[in-house]
Amino acid sequence: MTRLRAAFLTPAAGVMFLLFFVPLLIVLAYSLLSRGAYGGVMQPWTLESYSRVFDSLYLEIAWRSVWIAAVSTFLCLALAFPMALFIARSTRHKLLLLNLVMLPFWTSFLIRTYAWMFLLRDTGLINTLLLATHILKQPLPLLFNTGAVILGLVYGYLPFMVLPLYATVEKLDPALLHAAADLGASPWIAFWRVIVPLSKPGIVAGCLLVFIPCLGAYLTPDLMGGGKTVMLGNLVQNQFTTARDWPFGAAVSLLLMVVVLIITRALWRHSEELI
Amino acid sequence: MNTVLELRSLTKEYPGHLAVNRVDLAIAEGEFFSLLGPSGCGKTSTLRLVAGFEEPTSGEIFLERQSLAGIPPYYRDVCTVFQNYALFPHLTVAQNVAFGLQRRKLSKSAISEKVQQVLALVQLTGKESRLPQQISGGERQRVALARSLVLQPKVLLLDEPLSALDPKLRKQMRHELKALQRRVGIAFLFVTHDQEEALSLSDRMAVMNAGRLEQVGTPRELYTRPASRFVAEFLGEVNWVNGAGVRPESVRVSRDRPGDGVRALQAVVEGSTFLGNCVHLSTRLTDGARCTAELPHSDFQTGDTVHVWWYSSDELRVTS
Repeated sequence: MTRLRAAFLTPAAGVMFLLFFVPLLIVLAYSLLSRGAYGGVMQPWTLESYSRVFDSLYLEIAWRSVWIAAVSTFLCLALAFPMALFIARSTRHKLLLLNLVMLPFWTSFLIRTYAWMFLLRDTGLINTLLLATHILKQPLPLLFNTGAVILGLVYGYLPFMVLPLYATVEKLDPALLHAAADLGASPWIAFWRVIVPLSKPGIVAGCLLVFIPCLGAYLTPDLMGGGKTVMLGNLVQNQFTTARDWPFGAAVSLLLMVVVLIITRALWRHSEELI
Repeated sequence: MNTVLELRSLTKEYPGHLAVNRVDLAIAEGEFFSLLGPSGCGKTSTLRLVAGFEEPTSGEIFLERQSLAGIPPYYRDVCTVFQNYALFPHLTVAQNVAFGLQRRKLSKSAISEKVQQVLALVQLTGKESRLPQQISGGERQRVALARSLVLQPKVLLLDEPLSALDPKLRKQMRHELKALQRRVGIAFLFVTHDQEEALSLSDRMAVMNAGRLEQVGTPRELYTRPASRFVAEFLGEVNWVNGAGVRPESVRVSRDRPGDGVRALQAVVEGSTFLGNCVHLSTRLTDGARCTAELPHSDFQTGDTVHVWWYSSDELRVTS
């Protein structure tokens, strides 16, 4: 039995070890070395990269990443909850609606981001329409700002919030909502006192699935923010490319990982208490 | 007796299915009223219409002479005990009971006092901080009752509340339910498919079939003077002999021909079933019809020729 179990585990464990754990060790080693003149790393070993992380410039980027990710997560939650409830309640079109939620995954995220840029830029669809109909004289600055980044993140990660929420809301016994109404709770009160507490596992899972990738997002702030809204992902990417400071890039990405781990631990522990 | 709940020509139609068909009913203050019927007869639909989970297709519901038309469930002064209790799994026993009270403008101390009182009433003192999944089925049942009773509704609606319990506990809870109802004095509208429950608990009851009320009356009236074949058969076994019904416990069996003044027929014993407290003797009459007698004991053998007889006053005369 144990041998069989080991046989099933080995391939996945091997892949994880070779392609996740070993690269992680390499990144850790990089972060402790000095930068090479043309990129790459060289001796001697040093903690210098880690001390630079606490420079106010980088703390500002870290803080911006956290709040953008938090706002995006909150917006996803606010948008996804009604959607999840609606899908769970619908009787005939459940499968169709779920497929629509997952439909964006059929094309690449990059292409979908370009589509948003096509919509939002000064000569884009929305501004062209607004100008052509003389509603506006000047195009609205819809792209290349923090708002555009948040929009892109919310759009991109909304399905990751909808799906876990749907999974918990769908299991909710409709009799509990009847009971709440029966005991005098309006739909609004029943939502907060019954649906939300019982959906905690889905809320926690959804928030983790959205917050973590948002925190390390790189493509969306780069394209939709036009390089003006720098987040941690862009900082890391920058260090490995133009800045040619691999040790610092490695240190930032490891710190990002530590922050994510701490947040994940805290949220899971919180949700375990509730269940 | 003042009427607390009145249904007037209440009708609920689903596509291709008439669930509740022109039901007229008046329930008095403090009355224990049962709606009895087979599954799908519309008894639960009727309850849901009164609770406000569904709106009637036509007809009206009056609670203390106020029409409930268009009033959502959370503004109706009725409470429901659900079949599977529908206790909030994330709230403790005390929080479940306090849920409805918190919707009313009461102080915290007033709420906890009321919660304590009602938990004492249903004998759950000491279980306040347990979660629903940490208590037994019978206790859950009592939490569900307490949660509704604490709001002192005008009418308590009970949707097969005993059906989820095992048979032994069910009988015990039956007595507790009746005693509780007497103590709180709230009108109970009790839905069940178990005729024994309805007969033993109700002040009055109605038998429902295919969305209509077949008959309304006291349990004794319905059992001894059923208006229809359906009611007669739903409340117990009946032998049909020449258009008249007779219950097995009214049938006597003897070897000798009985005296005058009773209905007597010749029959052949086909077999007997020993049930502990009685024996069911099945016989076949000369015209081929079956007749079952419930006897305290029997020494008749299969194949014996006997006389089955009963008093004509014990006959059930149904019109349909």
